[in-house]
Amino acid sequence: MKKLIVLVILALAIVGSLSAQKLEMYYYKQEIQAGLKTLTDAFTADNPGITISLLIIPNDADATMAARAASGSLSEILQMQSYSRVFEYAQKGYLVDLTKEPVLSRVIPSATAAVTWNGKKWALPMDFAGIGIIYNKDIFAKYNLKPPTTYRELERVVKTLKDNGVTPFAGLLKENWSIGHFITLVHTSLLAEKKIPVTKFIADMDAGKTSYGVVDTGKLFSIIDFYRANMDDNAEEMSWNEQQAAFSGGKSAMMVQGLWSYGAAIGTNPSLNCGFVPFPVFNDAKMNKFYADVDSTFGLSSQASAEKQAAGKKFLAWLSTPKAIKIWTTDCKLTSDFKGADLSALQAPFQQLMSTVAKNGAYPWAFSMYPTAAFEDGAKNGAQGYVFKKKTADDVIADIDRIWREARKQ
Amino acid sequence: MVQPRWKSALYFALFVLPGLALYALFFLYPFGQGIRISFTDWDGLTPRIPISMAKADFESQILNRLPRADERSFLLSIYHLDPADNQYKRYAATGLTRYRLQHLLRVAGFQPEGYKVVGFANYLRIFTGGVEERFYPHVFTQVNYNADSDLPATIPRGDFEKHFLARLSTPQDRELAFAFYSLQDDVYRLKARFDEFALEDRIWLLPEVAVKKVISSEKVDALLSSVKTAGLQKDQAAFNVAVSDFVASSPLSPAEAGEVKAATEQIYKLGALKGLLASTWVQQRFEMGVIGFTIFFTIFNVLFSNLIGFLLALALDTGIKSQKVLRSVFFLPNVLSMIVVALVWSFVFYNLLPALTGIDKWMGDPDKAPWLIVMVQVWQQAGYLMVIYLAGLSNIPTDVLEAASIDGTGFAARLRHITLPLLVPAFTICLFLSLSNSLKSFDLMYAMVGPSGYALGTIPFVMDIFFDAFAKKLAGLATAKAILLFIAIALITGVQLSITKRREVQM
Repeated sequence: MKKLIVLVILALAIVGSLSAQKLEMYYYKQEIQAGLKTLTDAFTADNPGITISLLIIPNDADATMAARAASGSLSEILQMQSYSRVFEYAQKGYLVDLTKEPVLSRVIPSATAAVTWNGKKWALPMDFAGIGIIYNKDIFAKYNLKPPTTYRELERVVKTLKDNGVTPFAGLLKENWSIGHFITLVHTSLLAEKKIPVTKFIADMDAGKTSYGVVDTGKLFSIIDFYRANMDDNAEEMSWNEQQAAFSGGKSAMMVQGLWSYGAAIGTNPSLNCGFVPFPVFNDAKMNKFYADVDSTFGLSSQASAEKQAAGKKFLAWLSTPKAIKIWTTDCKLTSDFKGADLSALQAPFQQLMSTVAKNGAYPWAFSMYPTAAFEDGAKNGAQGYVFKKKTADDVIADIDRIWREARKQ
Repeated sequence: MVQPRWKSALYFALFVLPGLALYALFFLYPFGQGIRISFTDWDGLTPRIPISMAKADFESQILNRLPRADERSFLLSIYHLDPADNQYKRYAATGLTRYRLQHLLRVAGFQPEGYKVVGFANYLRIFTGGVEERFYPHVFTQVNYNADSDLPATIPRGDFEKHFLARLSTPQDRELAFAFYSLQDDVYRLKARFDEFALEDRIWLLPEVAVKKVISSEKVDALLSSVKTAGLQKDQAAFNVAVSDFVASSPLSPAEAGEVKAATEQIYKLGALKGLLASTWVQQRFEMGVIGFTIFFTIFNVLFSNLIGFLLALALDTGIKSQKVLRSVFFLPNVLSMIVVALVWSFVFYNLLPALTGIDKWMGDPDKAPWLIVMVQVWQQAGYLMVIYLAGLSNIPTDVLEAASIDGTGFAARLRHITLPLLVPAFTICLFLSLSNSLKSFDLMYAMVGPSGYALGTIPFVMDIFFDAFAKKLAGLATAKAILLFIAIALITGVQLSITKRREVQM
């Protein structure tokens, strides 16, 4: 009898393990490593038949993902950057069409543009991120400064800081991604000055009907010059780590960064007192908005079997439950793209970002909509080449135009 | 001992055949694939076997072009029609299924967009200068100042005199330069009365702008922008119009209007120097480019790491006391991973050297960076070559050296006539290793500078391939570059081996 019971249990266990779906999630946001584990464990607790293992590729995430796609070994669940990354994989057929999934209707409507290609939705927008000026409130208070709302105010803040021997902006020029973000941030704002909607600009660039220099390029490059001139003298030597150290150590009063850097700075110096404001490009305060958009998304691989796709859809649906949102905002410390999500657990600068964007709107992350090569090479290498004086302003514009044309095979 | 024939056949089947099979599987096959990809315009992402296709396209471009019924039914066993969007789709295809599908696509003559055969186009592009300019050695113009920005508060004396003053052709231009800048503490400083921020503040801080806010900031912005543009274009008329329009349309007292005129007049004047500085303070500079840097790195790395490796070996071979310890010490850098090496040296260049020497820029200086990278590589590699040279030295029979020494030959003569000729086999292997390692180096530059190397001019060939394939989505072109690199390495090391082998002396 005992043997029989053991046999039955064994048989059940085998059947159970066979029917259980093992999914793999591919992700690049290394800062949420622990949070994601909590999230997927909680999902498995609610759905005992499905387990999710995690595969982290923090650097050159796209290179690895493209290689896996080409060799037919994509993970079932894919964390992707919004816009271009999603569109490229969707176009090549690697993603499952999620348009009809009910969970997509729970997403804030403005967030779905980041995952919509060819009229269909290919991924689930997860978090909202913003790039702006993270400033040290204590230093500002010491010199009686207010967070700048116009370009002139920013110039004044910078002047005061410099007169007092404080470096205004923590430098980061050894890596090119941050200055790449910066040039597109200013460029996107300047598009608004010309009243050109970002989507129209992108479509016109794709069609070869306009140039990157359609904005006031004099202003664009003079702001880059201003930014460079007010960083550390040896900013060319400084990578992200050095920037964080300079800012969290109080050597510099501001950094132009995404809020992902706030986590790092506060991690080094927990007593750091930070504020977050848009980088003011204009002297008209109303025109200055956060450069903010959907950051990461989750998609499903069309190469997964039908059963695994179903299990993956279950996971995506579960992400919109209050329980999942709570883990996402408290453990992963990220904002949420779901309607009515409870964001009370977020830290102050995140709250500041969300409330400002709700009130004033935001400039979308145009760089996410550029063809990959136009951002990686044209904007990032272009802006860095400009501050290293390897390229002139005209070179940068001409290179972006050319690389964009080549990428779209015009 | 002569072995029976069956025995050598057995050994061949047991040991050589599996080796050959593995060689074919893990070298010849991928290499062949590489050559194939180099003839395509693959973007690195497009699947060779489409994952989904519109029904009509699928039928007309693939299905109906297959002549045999069994081929069509095989295809339909892999693809299923999704009625939701009228597309044929497939799940992951692996192993033999994949090969059969590829074969069928060839039969149907189907090539997906983004994965088409382009013949020698990639190679032609590389040889005819069709890839990025930074790939080749080239001259570029370094523009040191952008006329749309504020004048630099200070300009280093050398730059100002050599690259600006010396190029001014007229006395008026020189006069203009000295009207704005004066030499103080070995740098040229912009005179305080031309500080643009302060000049603009004379308008921004007018009570009507700053306190009463009856003049909007947009209006001030527009005025300053017009004045600056007029200044750059030396358009006095436009300047006059802009200022008088502003004054006429703003509720200003006569004194304030005078202040606006005086301040804008100064800002207008800055334009003349800005234009002059932007057009004159430029330098023609040479940039090695990817090819040039790879050659530079190879030459100096081979030279220095072999020289230092050899000298260390000679020193340690003299029988000095701490020989064993020193050998380990010199070899130790080689045990470290390149990434660790890069981190350690990055720390030295960022934290230690500036503090010791007072010089701020090391890796961030395009003039120093290529040399520093060579230095780190030599530091890491010399110990390894030293061990090979030591082994070579220990193989030289001491009796020959002793006999020469008894005959009265000095150290230099022994080195030249005995040691060096007998050490040629060690040179052969060391040169080969350092040559091929230098030509395909990647990890050190990746960890020390990353893609920023394009701005510094420190991108080696392999990293350029990596960037093309994954960031620029030009996998076909990148593979063509890789094949060319392979050919170059094979040729260069082949020539080197044939030369040094001929010089080897048999004892």
